[in-house]
Amino acid sequence: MSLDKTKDFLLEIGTEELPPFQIGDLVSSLALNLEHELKKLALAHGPIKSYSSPRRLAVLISNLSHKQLDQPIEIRGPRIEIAFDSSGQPTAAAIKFAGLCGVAISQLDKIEDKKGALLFHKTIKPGQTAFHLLPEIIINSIKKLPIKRPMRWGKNMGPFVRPIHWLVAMFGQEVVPLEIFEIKASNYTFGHRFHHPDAIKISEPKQYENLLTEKGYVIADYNKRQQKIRDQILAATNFGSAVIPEGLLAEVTNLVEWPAALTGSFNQRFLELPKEVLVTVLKNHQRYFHIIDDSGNLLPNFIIIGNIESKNPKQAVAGNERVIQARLDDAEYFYHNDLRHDFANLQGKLKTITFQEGLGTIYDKTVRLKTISIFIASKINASVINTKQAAELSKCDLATSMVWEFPDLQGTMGYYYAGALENKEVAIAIKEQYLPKFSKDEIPASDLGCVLALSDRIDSLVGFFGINKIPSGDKDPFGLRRLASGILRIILEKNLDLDLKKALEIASLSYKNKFKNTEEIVAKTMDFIYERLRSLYLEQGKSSNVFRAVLSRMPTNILDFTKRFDAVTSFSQLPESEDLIENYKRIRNILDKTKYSGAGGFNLKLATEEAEKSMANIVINETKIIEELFQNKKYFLVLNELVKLKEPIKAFFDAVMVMCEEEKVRQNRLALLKSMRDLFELVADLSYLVSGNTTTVF
Amino acid sequence: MHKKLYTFQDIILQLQHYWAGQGCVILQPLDMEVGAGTFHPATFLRALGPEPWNAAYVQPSRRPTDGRYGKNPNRGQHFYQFQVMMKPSPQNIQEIYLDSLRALSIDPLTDDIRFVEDNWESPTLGAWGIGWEVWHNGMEISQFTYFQQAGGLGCNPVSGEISYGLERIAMHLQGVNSMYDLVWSDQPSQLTYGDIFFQNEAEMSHYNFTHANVQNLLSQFVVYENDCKLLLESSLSLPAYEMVLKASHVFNLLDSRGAISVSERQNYILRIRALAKMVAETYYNERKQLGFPLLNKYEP
Repeated sequence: MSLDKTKDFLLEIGTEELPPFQIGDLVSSLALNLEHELKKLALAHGPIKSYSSPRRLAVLISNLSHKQLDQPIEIRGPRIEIAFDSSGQPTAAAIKFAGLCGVAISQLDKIEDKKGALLFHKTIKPGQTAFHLLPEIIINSIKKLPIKRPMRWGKNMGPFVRPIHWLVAMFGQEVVPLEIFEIKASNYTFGHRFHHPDAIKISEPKQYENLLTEKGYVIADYNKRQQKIRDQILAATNFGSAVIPEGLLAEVTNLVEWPAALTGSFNQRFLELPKEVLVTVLKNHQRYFHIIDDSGNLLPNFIIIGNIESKNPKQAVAGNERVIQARLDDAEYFYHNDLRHDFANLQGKLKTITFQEGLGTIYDKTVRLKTISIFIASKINASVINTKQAAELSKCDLATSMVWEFPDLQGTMGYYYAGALENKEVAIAIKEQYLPKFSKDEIPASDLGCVLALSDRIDSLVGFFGINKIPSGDKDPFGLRRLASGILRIILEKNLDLDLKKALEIASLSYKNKFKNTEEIVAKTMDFIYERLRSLYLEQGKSSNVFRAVLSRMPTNILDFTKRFDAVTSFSQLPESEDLIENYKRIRNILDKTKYSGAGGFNLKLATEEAEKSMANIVINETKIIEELFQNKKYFLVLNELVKLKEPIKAFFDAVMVMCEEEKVRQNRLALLKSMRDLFELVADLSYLVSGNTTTVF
Repeated sequence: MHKKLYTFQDIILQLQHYWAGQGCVILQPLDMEVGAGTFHPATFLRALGPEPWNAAYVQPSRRPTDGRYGKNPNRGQHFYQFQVMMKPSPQNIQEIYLDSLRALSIDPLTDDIRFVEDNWESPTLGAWGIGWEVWHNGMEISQFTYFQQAGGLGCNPVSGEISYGLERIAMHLQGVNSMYDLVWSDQPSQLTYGDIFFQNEAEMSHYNFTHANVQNLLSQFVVYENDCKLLLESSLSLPAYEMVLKASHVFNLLDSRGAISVSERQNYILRIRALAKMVAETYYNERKQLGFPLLNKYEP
């Protein structure tokens, strides 16, 4: 398509301040929705670029076609023998068809197909203009935005993410006529709320970004704005180095249209507070970037990213410093208040804090944690004495003023307060128990931290399953999926040899008589964990067939699960694997069909054929080898042994008729097949490895 | 730095003057203990139903757990909110609000004013809204909310609610670091916030944390709860609402006395919310029976 047949397209939605964590999703959906709508309507276009700021979502599409392509349309009519009567006159059917096509009967074509001739009409549907189609494209794209919490405003306007104030919709130099929530589209955008509140006329879509930067005090390109903030932070850091967490940077980028860095400081004496307290106040409450020296110690300075070029930056800084001073004053008051109490004594106070309706208090939880942690510690060789102490103290910080005031600091404050008890290992475990807090977060570094983190999650999972607060669909109000993934990550990354089901059982029993159906609860929780394991594997691009094959054996030790998984994966890549699996399925089908349920092995003496005797000997021999390998968890070697069965099985089936007349001989042959089947099924259900398997899915 | 000293009372007068100019009725504070301006019937109840309503008023607010015996420069168990409520929310309500700051000589090209996402929710009132805290050089000076629901009922039309934290704004305008150093009035001689309220903060903190009679409060809660229900049976929504407010304050006092465990706490909140919902429904029905009288008053 030649360029003069295309124009650029611009859409901008001007709003009140958008939620910073949704802007990215919203604008990329807007671009995708437009692209999708254009594709549906066969409108070709060039590159798509999106822009966003706290007060706007915009998409620029280059070289959008003027018009849809003309569409050839072929319509099949009635068969000739129906269209014309014996005298060759057109029937009502032919007249109707011609009318439908809008032409005379004489203008209709005839074509032949397998069944004979029929009436036919070929025409061209002219493409519609983009200008004509755009209003609907735009409205559909806006309607389908994934708004998390839509709102209404004014005289029940909406729903939308925030009130809309202006709308730019331009195709080339023309305004696309359209209206949403009583706002008419135009070719006027608006600049920065304070630096350029007036309208800015756009004459060409391509000017959009530059106009906003040069006139409007708005950097509409998210990446450019973010880079500018990064540069400003570096430039504003005179000594030490600024810490720039990605999450904070992303949030701050979406809180400003015209970033300007300022440097503030706070009183040195606050550096005596735990570092995490200062960082929480600076970063989480105030969205400031904190500064550290070469050894990682906090400096009493911070960087503010403001949204204006202030006429009086000193005054702006002083205001920000006053806030920090007030916040840290409060924190200091709470911290010293907490230090006056004996930390271990706070256990009693935990009896007044509910863990969860139906699951008792936090104190009850720590009692259970002690039982579960001691079990886990004994399995992974962590110190039982320290474990006991860590579990007892693990939740004491929930009764401190600091955690009441700064809930994010649970664990961290426990670390500092328990630090006074001079058992570093215990203090670290208390801090690490909440790790990982999110999917990419670190896991506990210390063994004791792992023990506590696992116990805490296992207790919660079992408890919530016990009171039937189970995630469904999108809804997971208690974050149980995150808890289960945390358990798996800790076990896998730390290679912990732990029977998870056993741990779940102990957890369910430590709820005492609260639950009657503990077996069912444990089974459901275990299934839930398996589901998480499946997602974990699928995220890593691993095979779901292999997963199902291993899952069928339900290994309750996750490490064992992964060993089997790796073994089956390697096995499936062997050249012989496909034939072997076919053999296995043949054996299984025969056993299933005959509903063979014979106990006891086969009798070599009853073997009549040579191939049968030889097969039987091989099976006896291999069973010994395989069982030993299996005991030692050498799963790949187990599967690799099966390769030796391939030729004998073939020879066996070629020469031996399993379903022979003689009852005893038949039963004996089935028993032989059963022994073979057992070997195949030891590590995993290999039948899942072949596509088209119809066995019930877990 | 500022040419004119804005006394605390100047700020109130200025805001009242400004919002009167925006068509708000200037009401007086509710004569009962409440935790925020939202609890005033002029906001909570007027947010219900189709009748338009524009009002502004100062509301003394009590949060017993925030008491610091007058020792914390920024926090107290008693403070002042300036409350604005506009229904339906005007299309330019953010601009109107920003002009009110300009009327207080706050210049958004000097001070960094930002709207930072903060959706408001009142568990006891069964109310929530979408909005922001407004930052002034990093300090929250106002809460700005589009009411979506009140007393469990959807809001249509939607009210825009603005609550100013008067002490914080005054501290900025006067350049002081403690609310007790704020100048309340300067004629004939300077009278500070501390001169007027310090003793109150100290004594009330003692009362809230130590002396409030828990047994009495516990039985009062039940009395107010029952009275509220009885009043609703007679369709007396406004007196019933007063019982909700009394119960709510009693609950706050019990909370500051540490007399309620976390699980009980949730239970109390749910009980108050249940009352607030019933009051909201009754009030709505009464207004409906009256034919929503204010619908005609605001016709252009």
